[in-house]
Amino acid sequence: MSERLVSARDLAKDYQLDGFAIHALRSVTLEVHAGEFISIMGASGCGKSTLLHILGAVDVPSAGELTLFGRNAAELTDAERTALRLHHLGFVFQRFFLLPMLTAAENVMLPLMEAGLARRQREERVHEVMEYVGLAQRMRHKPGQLSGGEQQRVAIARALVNRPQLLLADEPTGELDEATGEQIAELLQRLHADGTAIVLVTHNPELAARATRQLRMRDGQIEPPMEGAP
Amino acid sequence: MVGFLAIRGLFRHPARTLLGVLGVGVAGALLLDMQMLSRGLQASLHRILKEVGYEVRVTPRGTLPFDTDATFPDGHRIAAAITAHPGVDHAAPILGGSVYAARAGREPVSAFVYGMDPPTQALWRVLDGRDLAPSDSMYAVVSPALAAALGLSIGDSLHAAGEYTSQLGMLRSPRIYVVTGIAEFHFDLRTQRSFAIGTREAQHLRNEVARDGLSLIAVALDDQTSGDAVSAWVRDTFPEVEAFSVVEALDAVQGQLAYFNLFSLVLGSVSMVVCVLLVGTMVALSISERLGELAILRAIGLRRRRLVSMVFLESLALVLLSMPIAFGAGHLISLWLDAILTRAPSIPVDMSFFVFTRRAALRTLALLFLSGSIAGLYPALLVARLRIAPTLHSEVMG
Repeated sequence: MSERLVSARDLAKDYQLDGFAIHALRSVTLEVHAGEFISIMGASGCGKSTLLHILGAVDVPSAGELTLFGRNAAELTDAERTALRLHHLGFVFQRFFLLPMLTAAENVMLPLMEAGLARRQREERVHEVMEYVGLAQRMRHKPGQLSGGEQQRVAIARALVNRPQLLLADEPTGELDEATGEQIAELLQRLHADGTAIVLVTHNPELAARATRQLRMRDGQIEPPMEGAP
Repeated sequence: MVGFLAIRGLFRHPARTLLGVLGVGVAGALLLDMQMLSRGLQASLHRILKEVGYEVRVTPRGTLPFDTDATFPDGHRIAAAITAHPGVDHAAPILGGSVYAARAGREPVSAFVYGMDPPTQALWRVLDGRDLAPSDSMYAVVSPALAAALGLSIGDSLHAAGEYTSQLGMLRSPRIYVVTGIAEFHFDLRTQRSFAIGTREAQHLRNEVARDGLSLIAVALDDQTSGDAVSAWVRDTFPEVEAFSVVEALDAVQGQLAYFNLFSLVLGSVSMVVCVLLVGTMVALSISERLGELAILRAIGLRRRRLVSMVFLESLALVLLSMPIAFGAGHLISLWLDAILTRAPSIPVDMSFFVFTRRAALRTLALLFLSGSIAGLYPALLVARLRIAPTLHSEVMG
């Protein structure tokens, strides 16, 4: 059995919205192992992104047990969760959230600067990862000078640059046309093939089908796998 | 990294940043001017006193130098006693006061006489001709205003007296001096008609010979002697007089300038508030536009304090960038205002209201940085309280 990166048991997430109690997650149990590629599908508002945020240590569950990279998430301080995100996790979102005043290379370099790598190491690592996503020639361009697909590839490079064990992708093709979305899908598949675990939230069944394990969520719960499903 | 992000963040909207910098620069200019004004007259007086070169001034009890026509008796005896005190280089007896001056056959005008013996004088600066010499008992140097009023030139005779009989239109017992030079008097008001002669001659004019009355004794010390110590000794030894070291004189003058301090405090505070509001609004606006980006920076592992520092630094950088404008514009505005204010007839020729001093510059720098820091508090609080997941969610939904 490969290394267990994330273990969630009976996770729940409740919050108040305009005086109403919202149960975003109910009793979600999930494990993510090294090298896995998991896709999560479901209708809007079913709790997919909430689950991804909790697995990515940017949100905390209201109940349940969560172990992230061998550590009990409930015992982590804010600084420890931040360090966990920096060193073990990579995030890709539907909107690319690149800093428009920085070049592609500078955007990708941010996590390395935070990690305290020396300038030369940073430049080598950025070049390496930009080459990996096929944008070595576009490093000096600012986001405004890149297409949507290129921007998303820069965002993926930023997520990968610290060599995370787990990549969390929330609708990474949501703002892209079909052809560009396909390029991103191929990139994710290549990443998985190279050993990075991926949890992908998507509405796109074709993209979800590329995962090694496909999950569906409804009303804050993971539905049991259908017979014959992988 | 924080500086890198802060500077890049600031120049995301160059035109907006430039306008903000200009705004803060103008507020900073006013702040600098108010700092210059708050101690300007005092600094200006300090410069003149340093130029005049005496460390202690002895005046009649309860007065400042030349602020009234009051005199104290036995002036030369006191001056001689002070000169004999250890550490005193010399003491110059001075008598100043109102008299009348005229040219032969012309209507007299009121004037101010300075009696101070050469070669120790330092109350005036000769512009034309020559200064008084020790043997010049019946010679005078006159101010441009007096020369103009009486049509005097070098070599002309100046008639002066302490009293004037208006019914006869004549000076009473006038004394006659030959004009040797035209001089600018440091403490004269802009239109003041003055002339200088020897101390004894001035006593004759002011009818102070019998009591040996003086207005002032200017005391020069050697380099090792403290002005405060000598002034204290003078006050203890001669209860009928007041004594001020330069520092004490400046403090006494400052007390009379409370109006300027209050004025500069009010306007300085207003410009600081403008600074804080301007910088705070700009940075808070910028932050509210970038919440999604900031949330993603937190999500990819940037520490909270890193982003808080970045926001703080953006506020400070705005202030820092505005400093050349604040200092440049502040200096130009101060020259303009000073020219307007010193045109007033009741202001001594050499005095300035706005004086650029190290203290004014440092206080302006400190207050601008304080403004930037205060302005950065609210935006920093926004970032410190940023919740990653809800922010990302609302950004995506938006």
